Amino acid sequence: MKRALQRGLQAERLDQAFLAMHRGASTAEAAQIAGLPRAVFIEECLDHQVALDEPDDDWLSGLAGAATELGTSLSRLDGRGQSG
Amino acid sequence: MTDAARHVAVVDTSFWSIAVRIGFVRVLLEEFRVAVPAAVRAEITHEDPRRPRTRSDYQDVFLEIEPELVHLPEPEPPPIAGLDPGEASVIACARALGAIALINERRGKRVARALGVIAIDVAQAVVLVAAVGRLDVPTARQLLARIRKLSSTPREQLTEAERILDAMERREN
Repeated sequence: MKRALQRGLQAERLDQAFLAMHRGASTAEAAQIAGLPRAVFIEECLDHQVALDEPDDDWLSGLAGAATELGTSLSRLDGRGQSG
Repeated sequence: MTDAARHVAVVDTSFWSIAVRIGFVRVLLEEFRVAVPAAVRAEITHEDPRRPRTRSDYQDVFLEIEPELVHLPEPEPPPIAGLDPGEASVIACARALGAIALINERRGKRVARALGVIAIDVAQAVVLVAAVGRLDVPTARQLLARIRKLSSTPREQLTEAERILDAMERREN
């Protein structure tokens, strides 16, 4: 009985943590709500298909910057603006 | 590629967890000299209080590859204020070393970029590793499909990543 109650409470805290993630909380903030270590909570997110990241308008420019750092270029990757 | 030629990349916990899930760790270690700050190590190795004395895959893989990690300076640079401990340490170390930050959360990536640190998520890393020829396009596609299945990364970003792989494939053919 006590274990069932504990499991129920844990599940409730996890749901609240997932909700916080949907509302923009970081994994560390949501892990605190769930009462779990951050890595354990991240595993729960992956198991339950809860997004860890939000859409990022700078995603392509971030990729381009990293590509330059590694000695390649985004224009070469996606075929745009290639001048040789 | 020699050790000296490989870039250093500092990895955060969420990136690590996804990389393990999709089977990307070995490729990552071939492309980058990977460093893990103490705060991230503590997060990864922290026991699940619900399952004492058991270890998950992400912990097993970490302990297995730990000898291959790049050593960070001691003491580590002070973490960036206003972020979670793991991300804050990753960005601070990446900034101090001139390294790439491997972060899968938008807030951390945004702070990193504001500080002049290059920060990429797992999908970006997959595309980059394919672009430098470490990974063939079909394998990169499989990795992106696994990320899609996890729902860890927004669909918009995965669509962009696939579009770039399409272009790479067209250029190869």
